[in-house]
Amino acid sequence: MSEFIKILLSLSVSGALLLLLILGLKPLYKNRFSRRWQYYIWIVVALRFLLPFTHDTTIVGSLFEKIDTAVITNEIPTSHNVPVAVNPDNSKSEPAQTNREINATTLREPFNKYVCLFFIWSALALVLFVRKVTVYQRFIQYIKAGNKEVSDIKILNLLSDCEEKLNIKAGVELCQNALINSPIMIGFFRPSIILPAKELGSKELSYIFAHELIHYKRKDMFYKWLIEIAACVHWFNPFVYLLGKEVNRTCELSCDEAVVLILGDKTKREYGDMLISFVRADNQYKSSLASVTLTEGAEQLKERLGAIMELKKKSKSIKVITAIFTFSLCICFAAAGAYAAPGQPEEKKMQEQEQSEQRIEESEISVSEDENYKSIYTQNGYFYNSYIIEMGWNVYGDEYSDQTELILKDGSVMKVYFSDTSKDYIADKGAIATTTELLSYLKDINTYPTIETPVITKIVYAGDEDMSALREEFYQDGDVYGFSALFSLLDEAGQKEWYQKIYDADKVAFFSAVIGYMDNDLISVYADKAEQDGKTNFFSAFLNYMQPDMIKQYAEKYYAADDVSRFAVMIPYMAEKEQQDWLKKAQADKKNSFFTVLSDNLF
Amino acid sequence: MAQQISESELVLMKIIWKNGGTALYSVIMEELEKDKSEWKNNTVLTLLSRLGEKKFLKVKKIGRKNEYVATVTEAEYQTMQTHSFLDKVYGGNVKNLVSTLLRQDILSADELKEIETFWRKENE
Repeated sequence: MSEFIKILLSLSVSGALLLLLILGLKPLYKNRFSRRWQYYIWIVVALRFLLPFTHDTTIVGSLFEKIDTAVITNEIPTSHNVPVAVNPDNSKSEPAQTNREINATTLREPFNKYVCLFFIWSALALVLFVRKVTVYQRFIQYIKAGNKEVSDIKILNLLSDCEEKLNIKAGVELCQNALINSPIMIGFFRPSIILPAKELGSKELSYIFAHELIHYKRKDMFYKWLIEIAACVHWFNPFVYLLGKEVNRTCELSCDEAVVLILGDKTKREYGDMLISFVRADNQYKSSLASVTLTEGAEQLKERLGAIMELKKKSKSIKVITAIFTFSLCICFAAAGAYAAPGQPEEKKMQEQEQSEQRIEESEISVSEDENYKSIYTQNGYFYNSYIIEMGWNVYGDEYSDQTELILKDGSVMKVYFSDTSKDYIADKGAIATTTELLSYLKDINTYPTIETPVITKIVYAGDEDMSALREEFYQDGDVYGFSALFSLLDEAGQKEWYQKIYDADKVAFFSAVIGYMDNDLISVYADKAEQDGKTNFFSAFLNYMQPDMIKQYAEKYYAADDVSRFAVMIPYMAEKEQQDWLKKAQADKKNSFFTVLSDNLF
Repeated sequence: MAQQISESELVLMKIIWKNGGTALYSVIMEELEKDKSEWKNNTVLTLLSRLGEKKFLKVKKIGRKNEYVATVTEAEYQTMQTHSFLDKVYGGNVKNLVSTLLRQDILSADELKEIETFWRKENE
């Protein structure tokens, strides 16, 4: 939906720019180029308003992209802030659910905004269009009710003569009507010329016929309705009404030009006289949109008469200049461009839109769970004062019957739960003292996620044990936490040995438990290795620990190799700014699949 | 059928009736030229299409040519016109019409007798 609104607005801006450009250049061409050209050039503007065709880099297109990115940078932080702010109060009681609700509302808000805009726009556009059509139909009915067919063979022959001169095959109906004062023509496919019910000389009649038949031959009715449709679509854009005015004005001017060119220079004065005779008598039923009339009003007539008298055949050089000028305006048409929804063909867009909206919801929820880390259960193993302590935190306390309150070093009181296997240690002063120290330390270094309601799942005094044997035992038993607790005791060489051993044994769980001990160089060595060996699970375990430039290196590599699925894995670990840079790059390079995964992540 | 045929349209209808109820466009144009009336092509086309709209004519396509078929015979048309004339001018009163015809010597006494015998025979 938002894409549609963007395209619409971009067309509006684009059309208005082109309109202003052509209006601004008017002094250059007004008295030099043919009126016919001055009339048809507006088709270019009308099409710019209506057709969403565009090529890659255009003025309006890039303008809208800039707005896009500005909106992104504004929107994302707010959607992140909302759940965090609310969380502390609710975190203990069903944190996930409340979070989801909050997320759903924040998600629906911008979505609703666009749907609302779309409905307002389409409702008004439709109402305007229906109104125009009914006004037209009512006018036609009103006119038809008063029509009397002209049966005078002389007049009909005059019309036929005129039709032959203009190469019009179909017979145009001719009527007389007492309800009108100035000749008009109605109908699209079977047109009728309608004369007022007064006596008209044969010369006057032939001018009228020539004028109206030229309107018919040039399909001015369709042109006018094209403009009317543009006005309905862009009802919010005042420039579109300016366009309508210009088209109506130049339509008559160019029609006059054509009449004089066909009937000859000598007829100029008589033709002008005929126009004047009709402008005096205003029509009772005014509706310029409904038909092509002979005269619209006195103020316009002055210009028309002046134009008729000045009319000269255009020299060849002017024709060449006109062609060049037209060509450059067509380039402006393309350059003004429009906002293009990223790369998809039209029909797909809506569908794609829906899908991406759904995908947003999913990713938002997973983000909300990320935000929820505070309340997510976390477990880890520690070796502290010769005690091996396995501890989890952020638990629901009800599961554990044994608990005690410890006073930490900063004076705060923390409730600590004990599992069945560790509850005997509540009485062990050494164990409790160590636990207190460990908790104080962890709170001090501000572990992520923050410790609340910890549970001690295992506590063993290992002061007398052989550490390397115990480590081996934990490894064989699959006790990841115990193993990682003892890992810290190893020297660098010993750690390296284990890295290789775990890696070769494919034990991801152990590996990810000890990655924290690796330095950056080691991380990059093993990440490369995992990537080459196709051990994706190992590779993704590294992502959390990788430096931004490393992430960037991999992203660049996958981008160059067109490997979307691997590239997608990297995206969540990139900074927002970097993601946006990639987004732009993907759009510029027309890598649609990259664009899609990136925008899914961003929006 | 309340629609009225204009004078110039009637000229065309008469040509078609004379031609046996159907006529090609070219035949109509030939007949018009014989009458030395200068009718332009589009004029005739306009009139023919008006007759079509009023349902006095049907257009049949024969290849690229148009054949015009009268949907009413001349007699039917005369009856229709007489009825409408009678209603309009004499309020439907035939006696008044006949007396006008007699009084103006449009209808002679002999002709009237002839009609009377024709009428009796018809009813026997």
